[in-house]
Amino acid sequence: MARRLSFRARIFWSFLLIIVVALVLPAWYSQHLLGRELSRAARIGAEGQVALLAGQLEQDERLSDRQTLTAWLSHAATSLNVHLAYRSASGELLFDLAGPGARSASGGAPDGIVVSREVTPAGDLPAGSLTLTRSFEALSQDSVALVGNVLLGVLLTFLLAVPLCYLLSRQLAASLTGMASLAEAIGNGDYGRRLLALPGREFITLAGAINRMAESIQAQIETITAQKEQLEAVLDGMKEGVLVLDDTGRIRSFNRAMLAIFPGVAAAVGKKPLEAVMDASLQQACDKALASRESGGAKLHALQIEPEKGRIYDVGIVSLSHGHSGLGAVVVFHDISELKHLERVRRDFVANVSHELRTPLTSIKGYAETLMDTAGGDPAKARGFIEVILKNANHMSKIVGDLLNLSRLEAGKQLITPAPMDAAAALSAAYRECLPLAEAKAVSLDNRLPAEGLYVVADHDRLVQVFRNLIENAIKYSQSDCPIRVFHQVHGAEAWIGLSDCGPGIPKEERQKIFERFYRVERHRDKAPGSSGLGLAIVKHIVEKHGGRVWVESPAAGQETGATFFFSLPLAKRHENDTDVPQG
Amino acid sequence: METQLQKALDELRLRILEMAALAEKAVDKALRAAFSRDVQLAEEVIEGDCNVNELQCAVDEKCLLLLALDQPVARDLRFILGCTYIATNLERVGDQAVNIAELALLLAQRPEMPHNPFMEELAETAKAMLHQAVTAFTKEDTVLAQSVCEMDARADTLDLKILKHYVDYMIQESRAVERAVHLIIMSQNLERIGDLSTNIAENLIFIVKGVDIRQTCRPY
Repeated sequence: MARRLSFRARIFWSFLLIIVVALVLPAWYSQHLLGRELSRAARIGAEGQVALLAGQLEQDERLSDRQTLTAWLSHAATSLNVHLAYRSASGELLFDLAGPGARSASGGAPDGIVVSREVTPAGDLPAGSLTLTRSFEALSQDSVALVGNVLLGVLLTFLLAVPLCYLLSRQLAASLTGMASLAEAIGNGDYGRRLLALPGREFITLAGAINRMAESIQAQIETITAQKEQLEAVLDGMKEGVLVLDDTGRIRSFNRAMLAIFPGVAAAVGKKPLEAVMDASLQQACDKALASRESGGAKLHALQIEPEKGRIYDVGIVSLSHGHSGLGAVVVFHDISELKHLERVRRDFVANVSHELRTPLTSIKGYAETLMDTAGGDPAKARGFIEVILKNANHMSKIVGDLLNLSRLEAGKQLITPAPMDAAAALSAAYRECLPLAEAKAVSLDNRLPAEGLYVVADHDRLVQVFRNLIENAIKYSQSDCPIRVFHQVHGAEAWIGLSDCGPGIPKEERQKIFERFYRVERHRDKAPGSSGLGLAIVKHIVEKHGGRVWVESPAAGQETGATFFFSLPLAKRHENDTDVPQG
Repeated sequence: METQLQKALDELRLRILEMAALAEKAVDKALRAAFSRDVQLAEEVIEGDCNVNELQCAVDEKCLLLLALDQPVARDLRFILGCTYIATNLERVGDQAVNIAELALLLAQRPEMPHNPFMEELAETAKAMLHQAVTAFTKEDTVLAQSVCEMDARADTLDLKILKHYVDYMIQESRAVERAVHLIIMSQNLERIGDLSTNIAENLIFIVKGVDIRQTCRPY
């Protein structure tokens, strides 16, 4: 019951109880004491009065007859307001009278203070005893008045004490409420607050304890926050995507790299990994990893997934042992697309380079052997054989030359000095070099570059080489009587130069690969003579060294066949155009 | 606290997603096998189809059980019905992937045909439709689902263009008739994947909005 009362009410009622006890006990005791004192004082008074009356009787000779005595005694009884009786020694009642306030003692036992005294009067009256009776009724009138006053005092004190109690208890409770609300604020996370205003010295220990607790919580929270931030920084700094699963296999959290790899993960927190990464094998592996926690199987599960074409991830799933954290497993996505790509490029390169070199070599070897066997035969035939050998040797030499060229470009050994120059002039120069090939296939050039020149920042010789390789390529794959169209677009500070042909086009799968060394779209197709298979790789390297890029659209926008090769170069600034004389 | 029914529906949803992931992967692999003449990849698709089929059986059983035991109403009921339809369609997508893989196996034995950009575009369209339909289901996005229906027209046009292209080709080159016929069948398989994706998207709209747009393909 007491617990349900508020602190304030408890203080109030306690105060009140103490006050009541403190008032009632003394009041009761003083009432008792006063009564006794009053009757004692009345008895002493009565005795005095009797002694006085008796003295008067014994001294005064005038009171010798019965009549005078009666008059005198009745006067005395009336003025003293008592009951007086005088009885002679022989037992004769000579006088008996009560004052107006005093009850007659004639009937029943005397009720009050009774005092008697033996008297020998001075006159003729017989000796006897004088009895004075003071009734309690008169006495109690006095004491009632007195007790009434005391009770009134008690009541007044009580009435005064109640509001005081109320105010005091309220003040105490208010100071405690302040403390409580501060402790609550600390509990709710406002760890910076401290308890300073105290309702009393007794609370110093409590306040100290609360303050220490707040400090330690603050310190711990700061440590935890710092650790969490560190961990997040580490996780976000990672290149690998990290996914944390809880023990039911739902996504608990993820890092920034994960969000970049799979943007859907943000909406999939609290759901299964399958919602973020559409790959059934990953979900199965996660389920297996979580199941292995119970069975105590392998801690690490690894698999490779390819959520999109060309993006391959090595996924490691580490199941976590049962703890309080409720974490189930950590899934790490390691991007190995580039690695896989390089692996394939290297494999292709080795296969391709041996194939490219073996074909002319087989030819050379065959013709040389034939020549040796038929030594001294028909010189015209022999000459034909030697020409074939020479042609193939030239082809090999071109391949080796291109390879060296490429490796120099890659190693940065070949000096490229970009300067403002006219791309149209470079195109004309390149086309002149390809003219024999173009005429043989009846392919013309449709030059749509501006007649006043297109000024870009590039190395002249290298740009000619880029155009030459692209034109050669276009001629090789174009049908006859179809012009190679060269045009440009300006995008910001870049010029995009495009070469369209009417060839068969390039399948989407191959569009990246054709810029790799020795890659051919259709391997079974007979090679055009003089092709080293390195032309586009060289183009790519040169353009990239100029800060541009090269790509192919097949078919180009708005067309249904053919391919358009684009490369971008930085545009030369206007004032440079004015001062520089176009080269080539 | 999620109820038993909610838990079961969640489980069902996850099974559908798993099926969708497998079906998408199968289509992707089959097309890659066809375009890069990769026999091994084609065989993987044919072998992997049983997983999709098993999942469909599991989904059907689960749906029946839920219908019988929980007697769901309103959206839950539509979800369960929709899931059976979607599972059926996904299983058929898997079958189409197998068909394409089988054609890829056949074509890999024959000389290569000239590159046809329409076929590529159709493949991309069909893949995109399937992916969008699945994404719409994942996100319960009816707007995305609607766009799948609209893409179907493009798939149909491309299918016709491919048919015409190979008919012309066959007139010129009788040697290539067999291969061209296979390619036409492949194109029709792709077009069918587009149709199935449309069905999936329509079912999603049915689940979320309770509207049947199968006959109209028009905004509800």
